[in-house]
Amino acid sequence: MPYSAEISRSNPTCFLFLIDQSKSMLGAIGGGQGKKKADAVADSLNRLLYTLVLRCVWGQSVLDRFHVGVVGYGRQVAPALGGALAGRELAPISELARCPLRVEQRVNLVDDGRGGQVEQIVKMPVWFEAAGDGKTPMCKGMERASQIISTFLLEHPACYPPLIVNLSDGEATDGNPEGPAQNLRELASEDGAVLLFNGHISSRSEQVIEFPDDEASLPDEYARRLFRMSSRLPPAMQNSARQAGLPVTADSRGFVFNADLASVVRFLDIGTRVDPKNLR
Amino acid sequence: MALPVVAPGYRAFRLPRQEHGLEECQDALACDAERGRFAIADGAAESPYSSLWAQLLVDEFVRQSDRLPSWTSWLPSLQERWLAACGLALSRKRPTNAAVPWYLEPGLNQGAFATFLGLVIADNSWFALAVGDSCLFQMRQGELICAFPLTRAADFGNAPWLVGSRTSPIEVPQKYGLQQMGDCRPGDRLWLMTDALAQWFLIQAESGGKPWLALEPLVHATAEDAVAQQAFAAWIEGLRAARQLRNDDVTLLAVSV
Repeated sequence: MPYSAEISRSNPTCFLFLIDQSKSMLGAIGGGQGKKKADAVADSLNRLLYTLVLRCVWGQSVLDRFHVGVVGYGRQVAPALGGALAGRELAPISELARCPLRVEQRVNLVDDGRGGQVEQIVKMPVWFEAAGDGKTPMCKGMERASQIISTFLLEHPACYPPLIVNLSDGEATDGNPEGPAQNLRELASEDGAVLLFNGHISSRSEQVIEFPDDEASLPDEYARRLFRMSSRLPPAMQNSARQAGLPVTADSRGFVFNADLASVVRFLDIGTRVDPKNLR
Repeated sequence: MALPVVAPGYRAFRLPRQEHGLEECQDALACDAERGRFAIADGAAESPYSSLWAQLLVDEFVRQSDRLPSWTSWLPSLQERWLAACGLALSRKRPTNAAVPWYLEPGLNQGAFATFLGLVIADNSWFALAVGDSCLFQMRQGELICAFPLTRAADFGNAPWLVGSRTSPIEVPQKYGLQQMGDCRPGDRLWLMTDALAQWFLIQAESGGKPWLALEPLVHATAEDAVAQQAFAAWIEGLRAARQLRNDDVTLLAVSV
């Protein structure tokens, strides 16, 4: 059965993020004066990386169950992690854990366990800064992803299929990315085809849509195109998504509109989860 | 005339998942055969110091004198000990400690979690206390006569109820903890298993198999313990290789009455 390989230190899988860094990303979500799309994407990516690291914490260490890379496409198509990880196409997740650009401190209000609330300082690592310059060479981004994933598959032929997450406003300027996306999705390990998920941050609408199963419900052609480029959720992910209360079907795609994809990291089966029901 | 009280015999096995060392195993077990007290726990490895939490739970249960102590009586002091052992002793306030790497902090703030199964044998009866999917199977004359708390292989999921080291004792353990008792006769076997082996056991039993026939010679052989441990480890490896057993930590505590 595909998508059943164990994700482990000896058989890691790969997460590759494709990040739209074009000038159009400096526009605001929904076209208003609010948050820039580039900022929303940077926040989303940092949250995804944060969630990925936490899913690999085992006891007091971080297990290298994932190799992670970030490719930006805008003025150039290139690896986009900074600091100690600059220039790396993929890095083991434990290196990512150790090497954020910086760790910010935020103050959250949490329950004090006695019916009140107490301020809690939370450490939030930042790996990726918002940027926007140049055009949107999404096709080239997909091609670069195919090269990186092909190399990973040669080294890890039995891995759980790599996941590629593309975060963009969808407006490619170097042609129709559906072809390069299909080439990427046709890469496969012995456990199944590569998964391509898309997160669409839109200038045109503030609507939020998660894991739709039909392109007709989407607001514009850019969203419909990114939907068509997205893989269907594997059955185990569908189950986890349903358990999390999302109304997914067998045709649901790894596509979200103005939402973040951190949930897909939680949907991966890598052992017993501390379900929120236990946190009461 | 009262019959002489004979302490139940037992044999205990604990193995890490593949590629992990025993020091990384998140399962814990404890026994006091003289007092008829046994316990296993399965720490949720995502939380830091969960193997410590699992060990604290089983050790304390076995030490207790109440037959089945109420969670509110024994959990709070155990939670304090867990906090102290993690260096979070100052107060129950959720601290930020500069020495703690950012990726351990959310887990330390949530606390550690573990399933729990405690068993007491006394007065020709057994009494059990459980949270989550660590299971007890009672065998009598070659038949499975009781499974607790889960009774079907389909009941296993990847999000069992868990006892937390920083959550209220009156929430999950008190509300969702289960208790069971049964009679106990000489010759009965009581097997405590963490989830992977327990699920395998129920799958075999549901498909008409007799999984106890595979276990019996391993756990009740008169062989030296080291020999029995090797045989058990080889048998588990075989099940994993045949993909009959999930790659998870495995604990088996086999008690003979």
